[in-house]
Amino acid sequence: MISFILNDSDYTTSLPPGASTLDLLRGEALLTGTREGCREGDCGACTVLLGIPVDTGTEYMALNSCILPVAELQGRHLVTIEGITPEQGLSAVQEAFVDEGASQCGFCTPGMVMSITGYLLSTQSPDLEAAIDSLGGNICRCTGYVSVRSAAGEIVGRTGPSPAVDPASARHLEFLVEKNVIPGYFLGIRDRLRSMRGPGTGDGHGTGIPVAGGTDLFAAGGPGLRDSTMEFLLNDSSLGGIETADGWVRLGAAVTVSRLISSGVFRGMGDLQGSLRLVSSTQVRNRATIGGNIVNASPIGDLAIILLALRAYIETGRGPGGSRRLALRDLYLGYKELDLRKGEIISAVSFPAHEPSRGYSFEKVSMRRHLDIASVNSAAAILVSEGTIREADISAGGVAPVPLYLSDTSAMLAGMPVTADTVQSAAESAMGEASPIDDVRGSARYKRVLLGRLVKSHFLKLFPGILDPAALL
Amino acid sequence: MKHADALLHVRGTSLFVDDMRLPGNLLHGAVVTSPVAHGRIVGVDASPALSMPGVEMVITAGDIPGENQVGNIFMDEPLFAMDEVTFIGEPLALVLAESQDTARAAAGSVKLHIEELEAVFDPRDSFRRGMLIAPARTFSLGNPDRAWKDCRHIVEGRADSGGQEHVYLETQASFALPLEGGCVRICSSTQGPTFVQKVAARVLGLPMHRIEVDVVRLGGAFGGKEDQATPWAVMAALGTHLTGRPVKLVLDRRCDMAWTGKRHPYSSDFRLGLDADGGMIAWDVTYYQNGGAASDLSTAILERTLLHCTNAYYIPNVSATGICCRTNLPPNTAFRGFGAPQAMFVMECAIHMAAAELGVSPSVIQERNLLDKGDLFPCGMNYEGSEVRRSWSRAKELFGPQHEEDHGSDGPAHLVRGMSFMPVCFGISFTNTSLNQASSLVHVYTDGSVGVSTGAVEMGQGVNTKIAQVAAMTLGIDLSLVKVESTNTTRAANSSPTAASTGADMNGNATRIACRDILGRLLSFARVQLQADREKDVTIYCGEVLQDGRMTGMNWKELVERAYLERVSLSAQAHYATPGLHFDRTTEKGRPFAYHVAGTAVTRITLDRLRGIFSVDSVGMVHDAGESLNPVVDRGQIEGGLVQGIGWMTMEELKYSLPEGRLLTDSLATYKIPDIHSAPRKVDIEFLEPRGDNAGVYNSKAVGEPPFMYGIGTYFAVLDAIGEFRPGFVPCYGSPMSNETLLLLLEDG
Repeated sequence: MISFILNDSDYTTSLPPGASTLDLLRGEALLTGTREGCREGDCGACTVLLGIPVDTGTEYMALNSCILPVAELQGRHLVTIEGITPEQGLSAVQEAFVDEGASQCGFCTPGMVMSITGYLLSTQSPDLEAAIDSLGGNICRCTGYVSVRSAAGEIVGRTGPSPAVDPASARHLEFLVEKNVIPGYFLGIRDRLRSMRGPGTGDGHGTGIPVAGGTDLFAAGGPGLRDSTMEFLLNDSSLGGIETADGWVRLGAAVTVSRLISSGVFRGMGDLQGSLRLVSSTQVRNRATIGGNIVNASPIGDLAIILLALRAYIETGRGPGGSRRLALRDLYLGYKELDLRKGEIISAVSFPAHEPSRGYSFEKVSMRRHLDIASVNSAAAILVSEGTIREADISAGGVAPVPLYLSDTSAMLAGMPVTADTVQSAAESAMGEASPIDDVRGSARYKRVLLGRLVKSHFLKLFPGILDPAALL
Repeated sequence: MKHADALLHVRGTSLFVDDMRLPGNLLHGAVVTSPVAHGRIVGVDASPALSMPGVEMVITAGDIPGENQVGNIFMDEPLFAMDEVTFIGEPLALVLAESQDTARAAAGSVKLHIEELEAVFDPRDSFRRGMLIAPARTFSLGNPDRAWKDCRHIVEGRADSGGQEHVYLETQASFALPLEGGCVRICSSTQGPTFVQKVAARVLGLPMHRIEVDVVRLGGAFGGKEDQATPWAVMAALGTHLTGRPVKLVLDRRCDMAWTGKRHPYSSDFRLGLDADGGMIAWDVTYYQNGGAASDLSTAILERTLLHCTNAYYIPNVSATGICCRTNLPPNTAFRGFGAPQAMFVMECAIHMAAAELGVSPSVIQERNLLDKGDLFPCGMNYEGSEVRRSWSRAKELFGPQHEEDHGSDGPAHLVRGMSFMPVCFGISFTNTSLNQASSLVHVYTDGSVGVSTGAVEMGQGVNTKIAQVAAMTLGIDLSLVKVESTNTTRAANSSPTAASTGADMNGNATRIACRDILGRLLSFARVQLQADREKDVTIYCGEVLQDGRMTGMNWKELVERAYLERVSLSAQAHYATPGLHFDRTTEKGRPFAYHVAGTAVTRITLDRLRGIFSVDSVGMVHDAGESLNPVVDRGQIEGGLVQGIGWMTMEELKYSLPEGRLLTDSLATYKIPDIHSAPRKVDIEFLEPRGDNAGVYNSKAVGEPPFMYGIGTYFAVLDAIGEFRPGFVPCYGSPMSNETLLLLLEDG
């Protein structure tokens, strides 16, 4: 049995832990404002909020309910569109949508309202760009988003900055109640959750499917998945740490992309911090984990590509041979084939912290810039002194069966001057190392050409004063 | 004045088909479809499905009591394939089970034995094999054969445009309920309730009055639910008819994408002749339309292609031929613009090519050749407006090139700007003249509230809002008193689908007539009550009964109450037929449209030459909405249409595995439509000042489809940017301009 608070009511379900929250809402709780648009986290029509008790209060985040297993609801506050609608009238977000004419067919509208409400719950100082970004996971086919953007602008303006220090705090919730963003009952939720146990990690014996954010697993779905035994690693606090010590950053495998962003560990490292916003959508980033991205072994995983260029190591948590530490680049053996033993899981990833003398860059081209999987992505970390490259690490995704560390290209660059010729040879070398295939994200030829262009883009971005873009075209 | 459903939408309380509570004895349907694009059916073994607990029935063609036929224009599409399958996703059987999961699992367990046959996916290949859906048609004007001799410049080429998946956020959904006496009520997410009713009656072998179809609203449609909602709704009805139980059938996203038709891909050959001044004098074009495996609406769509073969330009000598080619893709279908976008794309490609030849900007040729009042279209109709040229001039003034930074680059060398003009002239009316009729049933209740039923289907486009406005305006009462009811075949019979941008025009006009009828009776009654003589002017304004403009002390509610007691009818039904329409398909001449909607878009993009990507920086549009009934709704239509059009031209790409013909981009993970980030950063709309009367209701104009074609401008803005560093650049014209296409263009030159 899984018990939680659904909007303003205590709720218990006997659905299996792997069942989809969307099915619970629509099929069992008969709350139909949460809609099924794609069932794989790619449209946001089913967006809900999940309130998780933390030391300072309750942390709310927007999630796609279609790929959220009900096990994660235990002891938490699940909020649907019905749960933020006041008994009389409209919430501030709903009002702005009406004022700006931001709904047409209305199918996607509740999801959008939830995303912006989730955004306001997660920040004390709302701004327009971030509010728009919070809608990056919500697809609308009717409006063309112009009115939606206006609505976001209205909401940001009408809400204004919160006096609270921490968005999880009671003070912030009170502020949002005053601003009519959320109903008053939110203020009592923290106390009500105290009497409930939190979600466990599953059977604890490591016999079930290890699930981190599950954003890939539940999107793929498949018969029998909901009834499978699972181990929910996101709730294992030993996997959730972020530490910086002795010049190394160590991230627990269950750190989500959103937490990675807010931790700021990539800050100062070129455009890496900003690039994390190219990883899927807010809803997915709130669940997707670093360990999951690595272990899913997609040849185009954004985080895996970044971490390869950072010379990351992974640590394994358990397994027949105890824990191990190995270079990320040695983890990948073949397509979706990892140097992991049965039962062994990735527990952490570590990489050298930001060095001011090193330049960092991430490049990604996909069919659509946001909320899409790359056709090709690439990361670079390059140490230059006196016009000469001392160390270079370049990785590339979408060009091989595995997330690829471009070892020949990286090695070749050491000792070379930063010139257009060097960049040209690096691009050619990278194209030579690549072995892309034709697939839905592009032809092999396209991906190879694109990789060369992205390698050039790294250099152009890192050495704008030295390299002439015209010479690289 | 906001969208009437906005308050429900933002609360999540608006009901779509899948949201409605259904009786506990509901059965769920799942469809067994063909896994191959072309094959001979050797056997269908449903026994594994039937042996699963919870499976009630597996229905195949043999169980159909009536005709196994869901065709519309031509009777060439079975509900369930019998001997042959002709596309992947063609229905073979319907499984009914106690739960959706069971139904889907059981559908997957049905064993199909199909002998594969050769399949064709390319329309030119289909043409060579003579696999036409209908004979080719040609629209002509002037004497093109002779005109070529007078041309100073002639450009010739080929232009291909890709298909487009509708991605209505609500997938195809319907349910059926058994009524007494063997009648069936169908609730469907359809744009064409009458068509669903007609086909259900045909398949079930019942008269139409035994089938009731009710539509509350659609979660988007864009043409994708004009014809293609029908098979699923009819299957639900068939399930109910055969089991006596309610049946619900909702497609999941992947099935919906894989099985249903798209916007038609076209491959076209063109030849354009110009005089020394850039005047277009001869136009020869052949469109090969990829119709898919059944006719669906393809021939009607191709007809509109021919009707828009010169877009917003006057060309005195034209020969345009349309060929509807049968292939082994799911039957392609209506999608916003209905064949016109494909025609306009070819026209603009030819102009781009001619501009390169003449060494001028395409806008020079565009402007030189815009339609003026009185110019003749190849279909024989004269252009009766002035909006084409007026919208161009105003757009040029507001958004046109005033500064150097519109072109080229002043930043990093790899970032280059480009811009384009896109004029659009789109005819309003169904090209099938008989569909240009609508009806409205208006009831005034004794408390003064009003219920309006029409054949129009609300799918987000705001038609119900506009109809309510028309009723309130006509009756002289507050909008809050008017409710537009669900679209129901028992209240609005023989309705045309809500399509061709005509929903508000035709159903609004019918509503206006019905309201005037009631108003006439009420005013006559009021005269008697007020003892007003003939000369006195009695009106209703803001819910008050006025005599010669002065308050009488009687309000709407009192008037209605008294009229009822005096046995005055408070209901009316009215019919509207768009006047002045005719078209002769033997001569291909006539007056197919009530009027044209025109507008001009100016698009600016920034191209990243290094990465092979671009962003749409701004689109400014001057649009002719007549006297807009509802500017909020109309703006929403323009913005939404534009962004859909940009999607079609850029990132939306349908990819198939060959030689199987399986759709690879069958999910939102692989088929990308614009998101909030990729939509243009800046969108400006100015409504063109209306001038003159037209057939739209209260002098407004239809708005649904025309703005879609503003999106075509994005393609040419990208070409303009490339032309900055490669003067005279002429590509192999083909959309979408995906990132891949663009980078390889840049790489290969």
